[in-house]
Amino acid sequence: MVCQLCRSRQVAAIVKTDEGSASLCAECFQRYRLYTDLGQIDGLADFFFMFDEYNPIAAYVKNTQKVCPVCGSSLNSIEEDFKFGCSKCYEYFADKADGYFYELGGKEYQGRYVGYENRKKGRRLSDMTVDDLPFLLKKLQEAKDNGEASRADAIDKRIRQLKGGKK
Amino acid sequence: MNLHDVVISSRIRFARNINSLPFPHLLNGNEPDLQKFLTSVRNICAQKFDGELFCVNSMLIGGKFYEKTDDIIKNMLIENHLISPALGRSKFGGAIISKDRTLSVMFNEEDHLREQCILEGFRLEEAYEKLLQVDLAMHDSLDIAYKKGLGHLTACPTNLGAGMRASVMMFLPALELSGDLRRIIKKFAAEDVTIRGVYGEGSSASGFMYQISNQAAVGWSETQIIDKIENIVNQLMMLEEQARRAIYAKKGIDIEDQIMRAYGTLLFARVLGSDEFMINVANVKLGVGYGLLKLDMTAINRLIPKVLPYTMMASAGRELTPRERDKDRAKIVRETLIKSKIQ
Repeated sequence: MVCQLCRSRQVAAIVKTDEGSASLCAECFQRYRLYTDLGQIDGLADFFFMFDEYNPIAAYVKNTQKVCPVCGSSLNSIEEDFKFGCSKCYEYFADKADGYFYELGGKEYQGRYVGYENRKKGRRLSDMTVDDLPFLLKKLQEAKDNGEASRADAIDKRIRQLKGGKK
Repeated sequence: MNLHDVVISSRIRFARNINSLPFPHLLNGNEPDLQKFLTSVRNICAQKFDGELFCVNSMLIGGKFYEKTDDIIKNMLIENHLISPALGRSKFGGAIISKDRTLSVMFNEEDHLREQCILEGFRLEEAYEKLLQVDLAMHDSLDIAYKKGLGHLTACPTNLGAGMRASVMMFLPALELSGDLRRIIKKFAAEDVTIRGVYGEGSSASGFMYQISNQAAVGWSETQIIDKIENIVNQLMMLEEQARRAIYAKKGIDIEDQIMRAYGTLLFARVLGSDEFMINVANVKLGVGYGLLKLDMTAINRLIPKVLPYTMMASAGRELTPRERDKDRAKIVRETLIKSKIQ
C-alpha cells in the first residue's frame, strides 16, 4: 500500500485522529509529527491541505527527496555548503548531523551550558532581577498563549514589581 | 630578554543561533521573528555595555532606522578584527561594538550571533569571563538553539558544542626567521589548533604576527579549549625565547644592525608604505625584546592598527590616496616612537 500523501512510498504508519485516519510513509509521518510538535497544523486535514500541488515544499519533496519542513534545506544543499539551514535541520537530518558529529570527533558536549536550560527553568520568580525582564516577558507571553492564567498572573506581578524598582 | 612583547592580545568568540529563525544564509528578511530578534539583541547589548550599532545595509531595528555603515568604517572594523569579512557580505548583518572596543556582538554573520571579547595581553580567561556576562544574558532572553550531546547548534557543524573559539595573537619573529614555525604549525594542526598570519599570511610583511586558535572542538568544554590554547601559547613563548637566543648567539651584530636601521627608518622616514612599516616595526619590537631599545611596547602594539589604510581614512574622515596615507603614516609613526621612549 502506498502513502496517501506522497503516493509514492510504502506505508509505514497509520495516524488515527478524531477527524479520521491516514496511512503515511515514514518520511511523511515524520513531517506530520514535526508540524504537530511545532504547532503549525491543527490536524490531519490541515496537514493534507498544506501539501497540495501548489505547495512548493510538497512539490519539491515529490521531485527530489527529503527537505526540512521548517527552512526547506535539502540533504544536497547541506552537503554542498557544509551548512545546516536551521536548528530543526539537526533533528530532521539527524543521521547526517550524527555523521558530521562523529567525523569531527564525536565527543558529547560536557561544558558550562549542560543543563543550563533546566537550571534557568528551576529559578524562582523572586530570584529574577531587572536583567531577566526580557526573559520574563517571553515567559509571560508563553503562559498567556498556553492559557496558563495563574502562571501568567504570577509572572506579570513580578514584572510589575521589577519595573516599579523592587528588587 | 623581555618576552612581554610575545603575546599581543587574547580573544574569545561564541557562535550562537536562535530556534525560531532559519540560519543567516537562508534569511530573506520576511521572517516574522527577525525584527524581534534584532530588537532583543540591541536591548541586551545596551544593558550589558555602552556600544555603537553598525549595519551592513540600512535596516529598521525596534522601530528605529539605521543607515548603512560607510564603506571606510566597515573596512576599518574588518582591519581591526572587530567584525569579520564575512559579515561585510551579509544582507541582514551588523554589529554592536563597545566604545572601548573590547566587546562586540555581530548579528547574522554565519550564525545569528557571534559574540566576542578582545583584551590586550595574555588574558584568555578574563576575556572569557567578560564575554560570559553578555552570553548569559543572551541565553536568558533568547531561545538559543541547543541540543543535549551536540551542544550549541551552529550553521557549520565544526562549531558544534561550546561554539567557542579562543585565539591569541602572538609576535613570533625568531621562530619565523629560524624556519621552525612551519614544523610547529604542522605539529599543532594535528591537535586541532591552527596558527596563521594576521596581516598578509606567510610573508615578512605580516609583521611576524600570528593568530593561534582552536579549530573544530566538538565535545570540548570551554575550560578545555582555554587550557589547550594557553598550554600551546606557553610552549610557543618558550620556543620563541630559545630561537631568539640562538639567533643572537649566531649573528648578534647583524641582528643589532637590522634593528637599528629599522628604528632609524621609522624615526626619520617622511614617506612610509604599509609593507615597509610592518617589516621595520617588527624589527623595532624585536629590539625592545632584546633590550636594545627602550620603548613602550604597548604603545607600539597600539600603533600598528592605527596606521592600517582604512583606519587612517576613518580617522581622517575621508578617502586618502596611497601617497597621502604613506606621508601621514610616517608622521604618526615618528610621533609615536618619540612619545614611547622610556627614559
